[in-house]
Amino acid sequence: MLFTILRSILRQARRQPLYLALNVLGLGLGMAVCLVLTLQVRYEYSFNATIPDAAHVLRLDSHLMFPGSAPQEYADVPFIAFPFLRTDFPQIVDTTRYETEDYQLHNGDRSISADAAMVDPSFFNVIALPLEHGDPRSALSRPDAIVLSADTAQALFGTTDVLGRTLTTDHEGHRSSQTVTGVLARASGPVTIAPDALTPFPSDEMQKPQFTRWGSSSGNIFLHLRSEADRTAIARNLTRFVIDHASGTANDDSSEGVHPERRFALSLVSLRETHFNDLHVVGGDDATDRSVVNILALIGALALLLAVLNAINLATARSGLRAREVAIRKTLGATRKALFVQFVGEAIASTAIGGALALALCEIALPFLLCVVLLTGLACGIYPALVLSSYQPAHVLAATRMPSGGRGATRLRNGLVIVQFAFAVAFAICTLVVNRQAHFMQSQDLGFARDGILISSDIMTSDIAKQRAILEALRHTPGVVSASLSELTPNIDNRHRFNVTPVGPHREDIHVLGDTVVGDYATTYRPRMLAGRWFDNSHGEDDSPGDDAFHKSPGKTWNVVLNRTAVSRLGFASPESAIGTPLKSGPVTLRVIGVMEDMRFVSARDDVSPQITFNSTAALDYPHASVRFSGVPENIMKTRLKSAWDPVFPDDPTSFRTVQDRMSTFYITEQRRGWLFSIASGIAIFIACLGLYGLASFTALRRTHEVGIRKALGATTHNVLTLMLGDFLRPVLLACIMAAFPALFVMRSWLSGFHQRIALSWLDFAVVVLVTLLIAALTVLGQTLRLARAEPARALRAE
Amino acid sequence: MLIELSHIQRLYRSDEVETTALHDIELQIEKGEFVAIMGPSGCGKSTLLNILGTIDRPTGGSYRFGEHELTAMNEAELAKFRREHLGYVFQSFNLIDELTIEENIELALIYRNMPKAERQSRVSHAMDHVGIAHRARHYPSQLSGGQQQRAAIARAIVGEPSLILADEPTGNLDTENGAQVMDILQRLNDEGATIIMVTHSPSHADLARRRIDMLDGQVVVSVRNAI
Ligand SMILES: Nc1ncnc2c1ncn2[C@@H]1O[C@H](COP(=O)(O)OP(=O)(O)OP(=O)(O)O)[C@@H](O)[C@H]1O
Ligand SMILES: [Mg+2]
Repeated sequence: MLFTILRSILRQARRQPLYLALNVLGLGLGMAVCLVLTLQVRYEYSFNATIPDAAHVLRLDSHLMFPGSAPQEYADVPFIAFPFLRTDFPQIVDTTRYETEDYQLHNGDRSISADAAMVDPSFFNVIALPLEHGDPRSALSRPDAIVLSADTAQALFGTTDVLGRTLTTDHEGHRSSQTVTGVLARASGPVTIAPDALTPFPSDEMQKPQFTRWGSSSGNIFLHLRSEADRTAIARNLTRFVIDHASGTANDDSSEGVHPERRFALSLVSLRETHFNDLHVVGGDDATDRSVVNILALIGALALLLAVLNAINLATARSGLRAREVAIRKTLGATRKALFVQFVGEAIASTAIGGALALALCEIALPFLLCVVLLTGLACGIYPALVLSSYQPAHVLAATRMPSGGRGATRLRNGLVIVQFAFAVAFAICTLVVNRQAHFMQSQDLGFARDGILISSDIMTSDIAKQRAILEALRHTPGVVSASLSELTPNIDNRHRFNVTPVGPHREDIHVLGDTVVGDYATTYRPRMLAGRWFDNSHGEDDSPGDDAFHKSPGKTWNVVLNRTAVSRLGFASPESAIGTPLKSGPVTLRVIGVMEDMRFVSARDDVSPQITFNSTAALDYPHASVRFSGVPENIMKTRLKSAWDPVFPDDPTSFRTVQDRMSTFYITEQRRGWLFSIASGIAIFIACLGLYGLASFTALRRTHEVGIRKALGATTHNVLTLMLGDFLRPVLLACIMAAFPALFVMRSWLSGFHQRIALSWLDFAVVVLVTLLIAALTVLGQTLRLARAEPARALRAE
Repeated sequence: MLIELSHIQRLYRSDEVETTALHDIELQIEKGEFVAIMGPSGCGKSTLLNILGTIDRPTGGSYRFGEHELTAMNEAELAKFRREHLGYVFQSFNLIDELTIEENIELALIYRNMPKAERQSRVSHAMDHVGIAHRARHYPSQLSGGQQQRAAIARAIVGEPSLILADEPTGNLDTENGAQVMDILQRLNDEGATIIMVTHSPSHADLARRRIDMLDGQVVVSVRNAI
């Protein structure tokens, strides 16, 4: 049997190399894409899977809520909560705190800097990272203990067998000698908890004020539970927990005030979830967008599905050509079952060749590949084998021409082409929309002139003299047009919010974002003024005091500029009507002197906050320096700015970045998604075209005779060409129509996640349809032209 | 004179061999004639018929049809010529499997700009003429050989061509069906159609008005039958 199959495949290779090549190429590509993506998806889903019982190891996350803005989740929590957890929730098996710190580790003259984690001695009871050396129960019990990762041990000592060796640690200027009590084994899969070193908290560490106050973010707290039910029970009681422990009087600085539950919440996330969950968590692990991973999985499955459809399509198209073989074998005594087995065997064998191709395209575990080959082969082979083995010999031999498999088979083939192209077109529409949105997000009007600005990292000093000095130094750098300091910059990393109250009928507090600027901000960012004027230091009230002094000047009036969103939130009818109006913020009065267009410093997914801008010659709070430059190439400007910066802040090097660069993180997800969709639609269209091409070549073979008849009856080449192209493209067009609605629907709901988005238009659809039809037409053009040009006398002789 | 062939030649060149299917054919056919072409297998009868039907081009010589010099026409003009003046009947019927009998017959009209209703009435008229109206909705594979050939004749005449070409129209049929087909052809001739028919049957050839004998690509005898 095996021999028959191989011989049959060899004969195919000789007689119909095109068919075999299309089949094998399609299957190989489909399997390779599927396998690569399966591995990638498995990787993304296997984060922390090697940590024992990771599903029941939970991180306590905090949520901070401010009126007027969305709550934000943080991976860090105040450690003040730590002791109460064990007492309030007896279900907890064990807990540990976990705070990462930069450590310098020295062994003689070897020293390295390490991302160390300070933890509680119970650490290994919670997160049972496997140890290569040492005992997890006692490894962290001595105060001078340190557990090293295998790589760190190797780097420091040249070996991992270092139990009992001592090393010197240097942390925040504090040197001490510590003894190695354990070495972590190298993780066999991806993990998010992979410190270079673990060490118990120093006894004095917890006395620091940030550990004794609610409202500070100290580090992670991990809990180990027994079951999902325990998790649910604890999660339900976390609000109660916050009320019980975080309440205090309004001016108790260590509490969250009278109603802590309105500002502060806790939640649990398991280690198995952090890799996806932390996308929106501040201070969380490196995260992947789960939807991107799921799209990958979908693409993998579809690539294989399309390849299988392709194979079925080609095989049924070709079955007509093999009808005579079947008839002759049957008259020679072959049973239907034997033929069926042979044809399925052939399908599996050609899939195996495709599999070998896939193997060459990506290295992969062999048993897995064999499994995929077998299943794919069966999927490809069963239907065509059924059709083939059912041919009636008398019928086939009596017929003068090869059977086409009847109208049923034609419909099936068209159906398969429709399905293939429907997927391809759906992907293509998504590709177009996602890429358009990504492009739009990068090129949208940000409300300021984004090009030609360079921005420093934040200035870590509140020394007014230094702030002045850097502003002057930058201003006098050749090529700089203007320079300013401001607290907010594109991709805001430092938010200062406060409440203001409009003086008027709506007396409700509005939570606004505050910015304070100094220098030539208006010429650097070029905000568009909608009404009023920008600051001018010659007006005394334009120069408000710094943040700290601000609230200590009751009764004073300071001039401010609002953005458009603030104007509408505060209930003004128009920007003009806001000018000159007083607002209250605590004891201070703010007078609106100007309204500017919203400056978008945040992602297109987020709303622009209502914002109030101050001008101040006092020291700013962690400001950034921004310059506008011209006439100098960007990289030269960066070097010049650096050399102006370094003498002022010799210990705090910075690198100047463009607006585009600082905001690029907003677009990475969309760009990556656009890229994925582009690849997916490329593959889908390629496989679909392989199928269409194969179909066209068989159709050309089968319909040559028909073309002869039509021409003898007076059809011109043009008539035949239109007819054949129409026949080939009709299923493609149908596929376009079928795919368009779901794709546009999905894209509409995807776009609704953006605050600023492109409008879907029928052009998206039209462009994709036209391009797809064009590609499909080009695919079949060669075959169709040859068919249409056939000389009628010769075509009539073709059987 | 309806048809005038002079010095018609047809060479087939394959990689090595060169076959001369037709040598220097001289032939005139009047309007309204019924010509039978006979000769041994391979002598070039089908080739001649194909050239007459313009689905094959001669490699030399001239072919005049009425006022037109056909060898000078381009492909599109030839296609137009075929649909306006010619009807074909093939030895192996050459019906399209995927279309019903009715649709197969309509095919001869579809490339003319003719309203659907007129096409339909002409098709049903042609089917009546050959006696297969009751099979209109069937597919070719569901018909007997004789019925298929009558359908093919219906397709050939539906366009009311001035010239009907038939290549062994009775070759695949039994005596009775063959006689029926000859009957139809004779009737068409009586109604004024010019018919050129290839046949191996002397008795069928005798039913024509003129008989042409071919040998090795040449016309050897051309005799008028006394009717
Ligand atoms: N496409 C072709 N290539 C090469 N030679 C051809 C081709 N078509 C026909 N011939 C040759 O031309 C000659 C005439 O063929 P044709 O088909 O006209 O014969 P015929 O008289 O119709 O025979 P039959 O009675 O068997 O149908 C033959 O020798 C044939 O081999
Ligand atoms: Mg012949």
